[in-house]
Amino acid sequence: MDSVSNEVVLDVRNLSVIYSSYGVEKKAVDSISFKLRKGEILGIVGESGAGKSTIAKAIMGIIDPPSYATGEVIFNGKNIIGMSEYKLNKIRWNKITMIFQASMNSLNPVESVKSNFMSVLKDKLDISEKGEAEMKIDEVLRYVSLPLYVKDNFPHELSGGMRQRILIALAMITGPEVVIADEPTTALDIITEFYVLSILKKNLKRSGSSMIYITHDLPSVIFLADEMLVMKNGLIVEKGPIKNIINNPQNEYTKKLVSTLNEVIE
Amino acid sequence: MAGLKQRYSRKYIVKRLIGTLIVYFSAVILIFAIEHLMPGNIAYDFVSRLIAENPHISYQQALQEIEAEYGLNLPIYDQFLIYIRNVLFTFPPNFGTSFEYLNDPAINIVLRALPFTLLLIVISQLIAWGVSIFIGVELAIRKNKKTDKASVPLLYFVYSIPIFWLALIMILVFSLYLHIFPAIVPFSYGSSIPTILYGMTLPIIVVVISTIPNHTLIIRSATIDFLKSDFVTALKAEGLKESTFRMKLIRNALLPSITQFFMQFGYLIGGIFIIESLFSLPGMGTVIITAALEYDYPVIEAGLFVTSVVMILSNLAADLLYPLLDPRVSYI
Amino acid sequence: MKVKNFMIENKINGKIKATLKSLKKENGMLSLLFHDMYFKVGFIILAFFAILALISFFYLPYNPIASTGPLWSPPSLAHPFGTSASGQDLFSQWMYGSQPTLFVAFLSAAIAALFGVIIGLSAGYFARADEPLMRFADIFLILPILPLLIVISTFVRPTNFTASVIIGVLSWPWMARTVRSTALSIKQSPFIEVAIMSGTPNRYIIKDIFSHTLPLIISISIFSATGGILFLAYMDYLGVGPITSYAWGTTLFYAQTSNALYVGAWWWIVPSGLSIGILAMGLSLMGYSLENAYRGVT
Repeated sequence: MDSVSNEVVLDVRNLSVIYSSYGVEKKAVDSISFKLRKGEILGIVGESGAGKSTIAKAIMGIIDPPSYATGEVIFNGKNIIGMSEYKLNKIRWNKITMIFQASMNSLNPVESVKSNFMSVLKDKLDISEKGEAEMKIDEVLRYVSLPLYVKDNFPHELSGGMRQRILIALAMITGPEVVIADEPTTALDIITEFYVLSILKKNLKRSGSSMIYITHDLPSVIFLADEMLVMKNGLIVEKGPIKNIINNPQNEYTKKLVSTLNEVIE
Repeated sequence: MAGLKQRYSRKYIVKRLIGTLIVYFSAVILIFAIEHLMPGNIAYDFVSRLIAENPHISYQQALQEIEAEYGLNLPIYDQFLIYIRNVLFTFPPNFGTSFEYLNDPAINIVLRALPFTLLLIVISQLIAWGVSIFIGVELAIRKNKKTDKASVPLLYFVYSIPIFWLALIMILVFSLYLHIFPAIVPFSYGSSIPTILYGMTLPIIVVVISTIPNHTLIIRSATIDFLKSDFVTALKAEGLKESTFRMKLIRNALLPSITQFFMQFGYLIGGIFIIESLFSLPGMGTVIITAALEYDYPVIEAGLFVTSVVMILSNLAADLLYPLLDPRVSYI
Repeated sequence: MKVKNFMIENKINGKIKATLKSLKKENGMLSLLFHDMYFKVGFIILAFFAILALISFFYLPYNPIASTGPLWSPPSLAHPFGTSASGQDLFSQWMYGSQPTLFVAFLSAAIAALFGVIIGLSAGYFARADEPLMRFADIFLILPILPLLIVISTFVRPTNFTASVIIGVLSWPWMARTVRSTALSIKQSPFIEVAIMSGTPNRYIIKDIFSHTLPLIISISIFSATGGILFLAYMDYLGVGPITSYAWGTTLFYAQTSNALYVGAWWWIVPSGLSIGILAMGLSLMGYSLENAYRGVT
């Protein structure tokens, strides 16, 4: 908590996302608002279909048309909803990065780990000299405690935990202001999960980045986050510091979540 | 590349080679079957032609001599054994001498034509493929937009017009109306390279135009599938430069398009043969089609044989190329 | 207020599902297809040529093979597509040519489908038959089909029927391969696995797999019909096809042997070739749209 300042890096105001198919529209996220402060880890909890991942996509500006987002996401004083692709590309991965779900194959399967890094280094940090790039890759691989030989491997040759750590390294390599982690550990076993999460936490501290941590797994939020949002059916049903919510849940859904957790622990 | 040894095990290579040999034997047997199980005696046609040219020969004597020379008077299984000996256990395979150009072994006639066919295929396919990769990826990115919606029927149309008709129209336009290229530039084995290339320009253009749609449609649909995949979502979030993004799509579309290319090689080679014959290029197509129309059996056999070998080898090459392009595939 | 929102959303959601369901159930995939522009265009093209073929059975302006006009006449009111070197009316010949073209297209596709489906389903369902059957298909896939077709045709002098048989027999492996891989994946789907484990007789399971593969089979058949049209055109153009039936390719063969190109008689060349292209394109569009619908629904 001590590293959290009062400076707001991401201000989400009345964000809605409308999915459209066969000419019928459906609100996946319904005018939600929250603030992310510098150095803060904000957990977003909710069941599947609650619209958590949609928020991540909306902030990254990767919602596929004809679906669209409305409202405001203020980053560095500018609204990034509806911003041109050109301007968005200056923010994407330079300032805001993302760690995708562990169950997804987010690394290009036909390229080595190194080439997966190279394109980001080249386009985002203007590092095209080979030696410099390798040094940078080695550095971030050490941060996530991966052996250096993995850069010559292909994604399918690595374990799930290793792939997730590579995604973390990939998200941290540009020293972003905001990291959005969308269920980064769901497909992993519990030991690997907490190992990966602690590596993630360590790296956020090092770079002073803020994070939006999306999950359906309450214990990991308690482990990681400072504040949390509880979502259901596209709406925020409760938000506040973790301790307050766990000790004194207000909403029915949150109460159920917390009581289940307590039952399991007992 | 994590080492070739990891990609191909000895067991796989042996298995693949045995499979190739089986296909090779089957092709050889099938060629014999087509020639010898068809109605009509192979020698009659040849003999009547000989007599037409030299009226003093007696029919019976000529027939007997020809049958003896080509072994046609023997029982069919003896003929088969001789054929097998000549084709499988002789190098180069011996199909006898051509009926049309006496004293010239059929296999030589075909092999002399092979380089022209290969040249036509390689040049035209390199161009067509290069163009298709760009069009295919661009169309996939613009899926359901106007450009794409209009392009699909157009591509199917070009794909559907017979290649010889396209050639006729091109000759009509470029040779007869615009006088840019002559319809037919005679050249052969000894011609200078500029003459050969000049003579091949129009045929190459025709083959390129008529094969672009097929490659483009394959690359387009492969890329559409890629665009739905997880790592493309990740690529979009990475906000890479347009050119980097496209290069990655192209890299990923390479594999399915190469596979499909080799799978459809049979169709391609058919079209190429007809184009060669239409433009009188001295390639295998002209040789085989002329031989078929003139019942020059040894040359037909040799032609089908060489064509099959080319196709079998290209298929093998495609199979062995696969794991080099897609690191996920290994043959162990 | 918010609860009400959910309810409305759920209702809308339900509506989409219900619409899709009714589209699928009541009218089958056909009604989904007719919403697709490509399918509509393809269908109209096919219908046009089918009607043309039907009319040509009862009515032709002139005898298509007899000399009924001036020689080498460009298009005119009396002869909308002009006349040939021997004064044949090319419009009548074009109408007449739609018959053998459609006949061979559909018969060859049906024969390829028959072989392909039987072999593909057997390979996909009976694990023991898979390897030998697919190796057998590989042999056919590697064969140079068109050269073989030309050579065989010079021996047997095909009729429309035999031409269809030869084309069909040489092009079944495509169908077999696709049917096999689809059958394999359907066989591994949970509902079939349950059926197999619970001892359902083979023929019911095969029937089930078949009905699930049917849209794909139809779509590939349409593509093989396209192939049939082109193969017939190639054979006819080289003069080794069923030349007496005057398909469009035959018209082009006579145009070529009469040097129509160098005389500049474009009217002898353009309509037949264009019709082959348009008809084959129409079929391809239908096949494409069907394949897309199949992929979208499953």
